[in-house]
Amino acid sequence: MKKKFEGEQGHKTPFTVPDGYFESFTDNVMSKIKVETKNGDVNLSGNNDTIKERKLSIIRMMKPVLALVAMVGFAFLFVNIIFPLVVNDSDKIVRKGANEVIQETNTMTASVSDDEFEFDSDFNPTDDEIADYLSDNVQDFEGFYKDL
Amino acid sequence: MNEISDGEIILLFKSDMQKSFRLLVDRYKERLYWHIRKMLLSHEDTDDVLQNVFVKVWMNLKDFNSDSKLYTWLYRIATNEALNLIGERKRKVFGNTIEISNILEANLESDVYYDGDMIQTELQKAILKLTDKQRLVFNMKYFDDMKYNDMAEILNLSVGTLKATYHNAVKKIEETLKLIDIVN
Repeated sequence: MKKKFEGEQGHKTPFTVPDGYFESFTDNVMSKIKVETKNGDVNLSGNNDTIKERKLSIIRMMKPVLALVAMVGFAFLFVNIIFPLVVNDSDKIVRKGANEVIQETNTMTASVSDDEFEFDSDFNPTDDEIADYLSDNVQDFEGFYKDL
Repeated sequence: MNEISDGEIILLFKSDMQKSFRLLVDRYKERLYWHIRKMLLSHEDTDDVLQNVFVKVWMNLKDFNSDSKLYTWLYRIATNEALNLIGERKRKVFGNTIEISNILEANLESDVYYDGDMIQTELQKAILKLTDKQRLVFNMKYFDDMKYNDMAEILNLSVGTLKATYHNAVKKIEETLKLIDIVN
């Protein structure tokens, strides 16, 4: 098979390149390196930058680990400090609220029993007095009274 | 005027990076271009990969071990970059059950920088039916006539493995071409 192709076509590939491609290639590569150097991706100058580049790549490598450590740290802080504070505060608010309600109820009960619902054992109204009271205070007294 | 050697280019890189690097690019750009192009087929892809290869070379040349051959090292970077691109394309089309060889074949047919005749096109299509490793070995041996020892260094394979791979690749291509009556 090789001879057949060799005889007819040689070993040349059927590919071509744009005109002047190889002539301008070196300049294009050097420009690309310069651009990437400006972006900090490639080192164009001396050895100091190489060290800087290595430090950067170590930071890049460590990024996921640092992020994980930060997340665990935050979770620890949250569970041990922030969460108890929040829970205590809401507990305090609930307790405070409950105390206020109890206090208010007590005050209301006290005021009601003092002013209005004091039982008078001597009070013994007659039927007429009751009818008068009802006629003054209940609108349907007439009908109601008739039914009786 | 004597031509500067690879070793001298590496030494020069320590004192004049840009001058030395220009010499290196000028010396190897065409050889590496054709090596990558035969794997990727499309000029655009080859140009992108070749530029990335030289950027990587620039970044790592200061650490290059001068005991190994510069040309072997460059070929190894170029091979890896080309295979990485093919790998990326494979991953991208994995869900769509499109064979990478179909994509490369489409690249070949649509590439304006391809002017192969019928036989060359059928040969390229037959090469596309090989595995990546067979394709690489076949191209390096058949088109570049590279020595097995050099190929072994570049691809990190034994000479025996390379010979067997090349033999299998040739057989497979012959079978494919027989089907279309190009090889008797």
